[in-house]
Amino acid sequence: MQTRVGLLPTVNYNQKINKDWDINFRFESRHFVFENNTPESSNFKYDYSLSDISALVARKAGLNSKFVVGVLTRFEPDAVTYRTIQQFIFQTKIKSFRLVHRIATDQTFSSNEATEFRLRYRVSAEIPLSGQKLDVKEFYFKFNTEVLNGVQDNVYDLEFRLVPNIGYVINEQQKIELGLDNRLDSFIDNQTRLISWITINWFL
Amino acid sequence: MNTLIIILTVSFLLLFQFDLKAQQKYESEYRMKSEMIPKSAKQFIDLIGPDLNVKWYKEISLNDVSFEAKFKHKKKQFSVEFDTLGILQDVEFVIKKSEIAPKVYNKIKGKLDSLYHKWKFQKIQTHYTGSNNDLITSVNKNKLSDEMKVSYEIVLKGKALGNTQLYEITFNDQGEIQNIQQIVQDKADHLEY
Repeated sequence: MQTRVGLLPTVNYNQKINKDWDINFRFESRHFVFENNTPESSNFKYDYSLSDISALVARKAGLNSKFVVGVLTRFEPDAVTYRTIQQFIFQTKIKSFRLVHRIATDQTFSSNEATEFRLRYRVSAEIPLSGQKLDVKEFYFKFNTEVLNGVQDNVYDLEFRLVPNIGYVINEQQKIELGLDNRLDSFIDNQTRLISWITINWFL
Repeated sequence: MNTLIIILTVSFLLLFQFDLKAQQKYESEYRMKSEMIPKSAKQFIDLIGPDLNVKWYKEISLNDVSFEAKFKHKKKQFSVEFDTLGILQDVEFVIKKSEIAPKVYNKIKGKLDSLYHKWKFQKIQTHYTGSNNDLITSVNKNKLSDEMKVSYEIVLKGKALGNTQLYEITFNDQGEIQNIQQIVQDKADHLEY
């Protein structure tokens, strides 16, 4: 199994427009630092991968749910690709844990590859580490798990993501998180690949 | 025409009343070690049950700071509030709507129907205030004294004027509204995006 490890810093800016609408801007970049392509070779080596910029618009659907649409532009060393995104997000609660469910579809367009279509489901769980609800200057644990179904050029692929994070509420607007984003894909054609990203997420 | 004027006037008054009373509820809470809690508060909890698995919290709202003991006792989820000196404020525990006397429940329901186009209970708590002895008797023996004050604290999802929000409404033991607060929900952008 091929294994790669990298750094994935993100900046998320969220702005409420009014009681029903909000917008989200996100910047993300990926940097590989290690790869293990074969049992005989493993390398610590820096390799810039890509940067993403996305803009999403959300409309409140109910007390704890929203519809989201947006676009993403991906900058790679030798290509620029575009993605359109559609999401439905809703929140539930189990005791003191908040659970946020995200059902998403996206379409990725590239000039040198066939369009990729994906259907995704992610659940994020937040566990406050001090008290029953999250307050300023408190730590929390966040765990995401996601399944992604993709079709490109009539070839189907499946990806799983497991992402534990430790987070801190800096103030009413800002949070910062440190996590490990583990992505396992290419099951179907028996070329399973694991990519682990060390993530630093800043929400403001 | 007269009927229309009456309907518009009543609707305006209801809107005005609703808007005046729905203050926003801001509250933060922090887990506390029992060593930090006033002795008198811990002694009161020991009188309810010496082996209770109690979690202590410090609760800070806009106007108040208090300590709260949360525990499960006789299959009920209790929350006992004390001021910062350890003086007992109240005892509350979660109940089902069937545990409210039918006459009182019907009055509560009627009031909620007048305030909201649609509503749904999220949580109902009974609130007791009174002397320490009366409160211990009410918790352990389910007996209420005449000197005790009983109220109901209801968290519900309510839809009014096309807008759905979470509210905490306090009713007295006759089903009359004492207070309405809109619950400000925590941001979830770190979970959503």
